[in-house]
Amino acid sequence: MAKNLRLKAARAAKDMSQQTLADAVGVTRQTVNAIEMGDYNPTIRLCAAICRALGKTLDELFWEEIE
Amino acid sequence: MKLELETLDERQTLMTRKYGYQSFLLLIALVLINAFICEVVYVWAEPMVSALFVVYIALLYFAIRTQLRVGIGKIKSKWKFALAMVPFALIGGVMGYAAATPGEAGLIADGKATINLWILFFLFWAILVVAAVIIRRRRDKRDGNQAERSDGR
Repeated sequence: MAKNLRLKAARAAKDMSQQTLADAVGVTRQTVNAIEMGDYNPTIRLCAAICRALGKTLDELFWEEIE
Repeated sequence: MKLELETLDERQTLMTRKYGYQSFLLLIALVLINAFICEVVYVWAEPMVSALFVVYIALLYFAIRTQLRVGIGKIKSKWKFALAMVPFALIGGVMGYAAATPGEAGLIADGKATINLWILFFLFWAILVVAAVIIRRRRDKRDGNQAERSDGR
């Protein structure tokens, strides 16, 4: 699974650390790190929580175009 | 909306179940292998001791995998960490003393492994799990520092 650089960029744009985002969505920092590194595929519930915390849509953060 | 963090988050729950399932399969495989060895090759231990060994190996696998990959038990303070290690040290010390004390049987009696050998392995188990906890804590700290640096903080 590829790295989610859009999530990392959106988080940095909000000036949030991994820990801050993790606290905001109710998971551990390691889980946020795993999502950004592409090591873990989050549930739709967690995706939605992350989108709300970062003020983005699901498409903007998680949609991948099939080539 | 802020969600409350409970004991484990969804990734940790998933990983724990995954390693639990793998441990269960390992347990079944070991039970079958042990039965085969005892029936066909050689009775290497009393039934209870051999069963304990099989459980020990499956437990060891589960404990180390969960500690390294899941990171159950978020202990931030060094004092709390040291306090959490006290039961391990106590259990390990008592078990080690029991194993080292000459009793009716040593580690191996009549060509068979005794309960004392299993007790010694339990001490080994405690040491390995503590080592896994320490490795995980160091890795978390390193990853945390890297994340902070990439955040520009």
